[in-house]
Amino acid sequence: MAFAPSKSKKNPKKEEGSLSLNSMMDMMTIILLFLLKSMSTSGALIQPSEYLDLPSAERDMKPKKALSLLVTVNHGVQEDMESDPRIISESDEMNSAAMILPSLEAYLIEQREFMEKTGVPFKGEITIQCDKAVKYEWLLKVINTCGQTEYSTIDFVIIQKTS
Amino acid sequence: MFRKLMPSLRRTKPEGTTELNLTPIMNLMVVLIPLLLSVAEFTKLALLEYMPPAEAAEDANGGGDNDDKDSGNDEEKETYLRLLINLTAGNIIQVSMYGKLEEGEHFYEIPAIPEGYYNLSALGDSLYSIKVHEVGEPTGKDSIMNEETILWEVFNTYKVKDGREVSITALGTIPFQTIINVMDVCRYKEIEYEKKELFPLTLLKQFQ
Repeated sequence: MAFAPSKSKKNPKKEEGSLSLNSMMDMMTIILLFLLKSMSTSGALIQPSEYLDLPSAERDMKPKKALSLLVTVNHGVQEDMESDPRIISESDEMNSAAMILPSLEAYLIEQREFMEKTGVPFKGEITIQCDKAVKYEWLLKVINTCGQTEYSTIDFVIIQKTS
Repeated sequence: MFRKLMPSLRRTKPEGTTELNLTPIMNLMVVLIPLLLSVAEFTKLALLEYMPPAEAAEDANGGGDNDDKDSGNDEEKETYLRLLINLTAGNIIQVSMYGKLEEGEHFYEIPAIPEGYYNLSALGDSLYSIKVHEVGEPTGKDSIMNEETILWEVFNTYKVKDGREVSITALGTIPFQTIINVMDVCRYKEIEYEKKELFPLTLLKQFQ
């Protein structure tokens, strides 16, 4: 005679399984603290260009919005348009002996006149995003041209070194 | 005979563990993390201010003319340091004061480090020594209006009028990062965990 299966085997009690969230909470807390630390309340006033490798330095001056130029290794000076920067001064012009870049000079004058026409007070401020490999002579030409066109407050964008 | 009293078996029942309901906190985290990720700043950008020579000279002279500074007469030598750092070929740094170009106390070279790079550490020491011995202690204070913040910025004045200023010249082929490194060295030096101001006003000039 076959034995009847016991009741406990036939109807095993189904225990409710609970997921342990403790380790996940620990992880989330760490991520949350890290993100809170790196949070910026001021927002990104300057977007680092993908075409450049910016130099790093120990400075803490906050970025500000001003007319912006990109100085690249391969394409000379470019206008800071995030998606597709327009070349202002070609590399050939940069390699010439002249210390003033005619195309850049024309562009800066045009920008100044545009500001004056639209009623924006001209402060002579310019922000330069310059690749760290750009030659010093190129940099001097850009600075000289800016100075020539009354842009006397020049700021270079750098990556802040954490000391 | 007395029967030994025993605690009731009911009391030895294991107490049921109560688990904290973490689900609402998890929900909060799931909302907070993407929000913070969107405003996180992983690469901190900053600005390195540069003052073109004419403007820096105006500040140093109190609005005077730069031509007086370069005239090189004996009276001017006492009032202007005219500190110049020249980055030359072979990773040699030349330091010149009072417009001197003959090797001596006021014109010397800092050789490259064995790895073949500019000896920026020696340059920092050298600039600190110049600040201490040639510029000396501040003689007073002056202030300038910051047009952006509309606040007066106070700075030290020294017996030499350009006691906060250094000119940098370099070969045309030297990369921008090297110039930035030199500008960084010129600005401050850390002595015993304290940042001492050296020459924060850097002017970029053409290599002669």
